[in-house]
Amino acid sequence: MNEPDYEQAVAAYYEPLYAFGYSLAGNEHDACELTQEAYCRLLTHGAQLRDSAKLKSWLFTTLYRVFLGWKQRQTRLPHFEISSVESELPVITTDHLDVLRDEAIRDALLELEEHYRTPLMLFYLNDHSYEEIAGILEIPVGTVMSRLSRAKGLLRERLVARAIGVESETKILPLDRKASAKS
Amino acid sequence: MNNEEAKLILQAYRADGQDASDPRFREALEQAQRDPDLARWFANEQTLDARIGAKLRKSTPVPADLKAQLLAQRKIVRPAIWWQRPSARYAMAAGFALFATIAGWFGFVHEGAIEARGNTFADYRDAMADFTGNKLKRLEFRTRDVAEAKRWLAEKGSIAELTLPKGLEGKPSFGCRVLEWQGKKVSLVCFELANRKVVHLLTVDSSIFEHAPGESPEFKQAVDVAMASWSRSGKTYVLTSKRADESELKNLF
Repeated sequence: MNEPDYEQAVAAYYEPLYAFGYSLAGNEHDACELTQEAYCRLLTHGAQLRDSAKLKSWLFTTLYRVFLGWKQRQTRLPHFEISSVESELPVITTDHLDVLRDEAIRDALLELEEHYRTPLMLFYLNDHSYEEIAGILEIPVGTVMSRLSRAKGLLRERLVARAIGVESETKILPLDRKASAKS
Repeated sequence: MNNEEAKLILQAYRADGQDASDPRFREALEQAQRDPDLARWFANEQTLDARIGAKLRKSTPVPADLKAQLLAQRKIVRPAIWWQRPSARYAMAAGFALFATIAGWFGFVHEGAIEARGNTFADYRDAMADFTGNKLKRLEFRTRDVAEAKRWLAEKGSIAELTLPKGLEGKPSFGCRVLEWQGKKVSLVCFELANRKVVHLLTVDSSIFEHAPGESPEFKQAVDVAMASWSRSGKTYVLTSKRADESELKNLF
């Protein structure tokens, strides 16, 4: 990949890639490293990418695979189920969103289990259709749709809980946070 | 298609209208045009998605130096087209073997060697602060478990018995690596604080300094890096952070 092409690839996608990396890893340090690794692989393996129109999906897929590689090396811990209390919460409105800081929405997203959090973040990054999400995560289109639907519901329950000050006692934590939460 | 099926499909419809021409949404969109209840639900869904999406995108500010780092890595990573040539692969393999042998002779790898401006403790502390604040790109061993990090450091022959400040006990790690200062190994372990800020703990043998710091931590705030330094049981510790300020470091003791 020549220099102008690489610079263009960085300018076009590094911000959503970083945001996606953050949604996976839950912290700035790892999000930076995931982003750097994705672009590093573009430099070393970019010649395999024959269709430049697929660059965006290639970068997101690569970043996701790097993350999965990291995760495989971590000890799997049991996850906690969401509290049933949250199903009693009111339906979310824009008023609820208005009282929430941007970071509160990100933190609520980070509480979702990874298989809900990941397609939802790609969806909200706005650049990915459900078909692209299916390609990046290597899951069927129908699964993307059902996970998006469930993930939106779970996220909104958490946002309402935050907006009205009723936080669930039991939270689902991203894999890499569970160890610290247990200690 | 009933309304529940239509809702499931329409929840994947992006709020900015990019999917308007996608045939998979056509039937569900037509149903929303016919059914006022579904139309209201869909309009509300789009409004909520637009608001949540906008807030989410704003919630994760990209570090100011990330773009520069990405552009800089092109200079150190050779493009695939070069190394994918078979002849180049053989040359690289031979070169790597030679490098590994030379590195083995000297007993170290230069990547983690920190440039020495002088040999005082202040030189060491400032160089480590500069490295962790501005130059640290990757860890050699990634783990959330500090005990695992210590085991890895011990395997590498670096200092692994660390006396942590109270505030770092039980905090998750990002991982660790071994650095080098004037021929001595320096153990670096990175920790994550509760507010997601990162602190770096560097440990080296106190005997390399003529005047090592005392047991009480000394704090220093440089332009963009906060530092704490102290010595205990023959080891000198430096704690640095780019995101946490001096008062946050003080709270760890």
